[in-house]
Amino acid sequence: MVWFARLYALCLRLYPAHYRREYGSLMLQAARDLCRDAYRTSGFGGLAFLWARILADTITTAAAVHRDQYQEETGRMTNITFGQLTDTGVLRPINEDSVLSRFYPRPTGDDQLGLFIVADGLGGHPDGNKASKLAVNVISDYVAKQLETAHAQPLDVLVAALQAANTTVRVEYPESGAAVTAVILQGRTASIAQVGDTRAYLVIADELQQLTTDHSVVQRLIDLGKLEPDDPANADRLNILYRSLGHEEALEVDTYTYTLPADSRLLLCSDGLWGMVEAPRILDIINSESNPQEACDKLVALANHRGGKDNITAIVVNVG
Amino acid sequence: MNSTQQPEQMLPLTPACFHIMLALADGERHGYAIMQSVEQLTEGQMKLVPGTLYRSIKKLLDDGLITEVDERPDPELDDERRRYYKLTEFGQRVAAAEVRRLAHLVNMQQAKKLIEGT
Repeated sequence: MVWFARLYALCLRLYPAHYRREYGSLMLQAARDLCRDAYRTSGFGGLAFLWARILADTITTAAAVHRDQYQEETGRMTNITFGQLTDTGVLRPINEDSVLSRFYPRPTGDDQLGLFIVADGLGGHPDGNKASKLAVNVISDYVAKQLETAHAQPLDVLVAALQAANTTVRVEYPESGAAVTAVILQGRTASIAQVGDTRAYLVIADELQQLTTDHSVVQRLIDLGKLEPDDPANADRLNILYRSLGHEEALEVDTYTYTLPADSRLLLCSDGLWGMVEAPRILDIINSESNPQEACDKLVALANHRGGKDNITAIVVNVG
Repeated sequence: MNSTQQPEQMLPLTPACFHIMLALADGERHGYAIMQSVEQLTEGQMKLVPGTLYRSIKKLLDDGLITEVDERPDPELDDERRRYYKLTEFGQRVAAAEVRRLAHLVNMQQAKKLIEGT
């Protein structure tokens, strides 16, 4: 019996050191109990069978414990908090923006999954508010369903969700459409799908980085060198989108994937924010306000203070 | 991540975890007693060995579903001190939620078809 205890003690070396310290003696005790029972009931034959099972189990669980430890160290402890705010603004009669932030529970051991969507119904078209709301609902329902499929890739799910929303909006509100930016955040990985002029920004170490490109005529003219990028007059130019949800049968979606460093922050917003508040001021507010909800409140307040010409929507996500 | 934990968010439980919780439903147990209970409850279908047993116990402890009670000898065994575990209040709610989930599954028409072989 002592032999078997020694043998099992050797097997335990397959486990990570801290796990051995915590559970090694308990596992040894359990193994001795099982060996005693097996020998009592079925002699050496029983012991042999028991040992086969213990060995197989040791190999699989030791690998699993190593993997658990790795996940804990890399991403499972990610702490995600967020705030969101949508506001009609000063000049517009109704709010045609829609917003959603939601967490989906995952089986323990997997990172929690966050979905964040900003949608801006096309101004100057009827039912912009209904189109943006519908887009947000279709996308979130689609994502929720797909997550039950094992191994669903977040970016593929998002693109398909936007396609589904595109089709639905075309049918329900054929005169309308929306700009949409949708992000799935899992652990430290952000998957972004975007169409139109709603934006995603990343704030790391005092730098504001625009992650998305506007699908607008103004942006095209800037790219072609016909307009200056920082010209304040750009904000007043009628911003026609050449790509939006609910427009074409085949929707082309821009996608991005980023691994977010610890203590970084994501900002999703509609043009009611970025069109009224310049990037350095956005950065100031986000840096000065660690609470993501307060940051959203301040950003929206400033956009309104500057004139609030459009509906304003912001989501700020803190990645711990 | 802030959220008030709903029992349903912890589901589904792995079979090993679920059976360990079932074994604790009757009261505190140490590891060996848990292994024996599980074997009895499953009529020999699930025989836990130390690796799976303690990995599952660790997960249940980390998730707040069980808690360590104390270390003391089991009078029915020997003089060795053994660590006893029990279900937490949250653990009891989670185990109940899992039983309801499984009962619902078994009651579904499709499930019945599988069992009856139609």
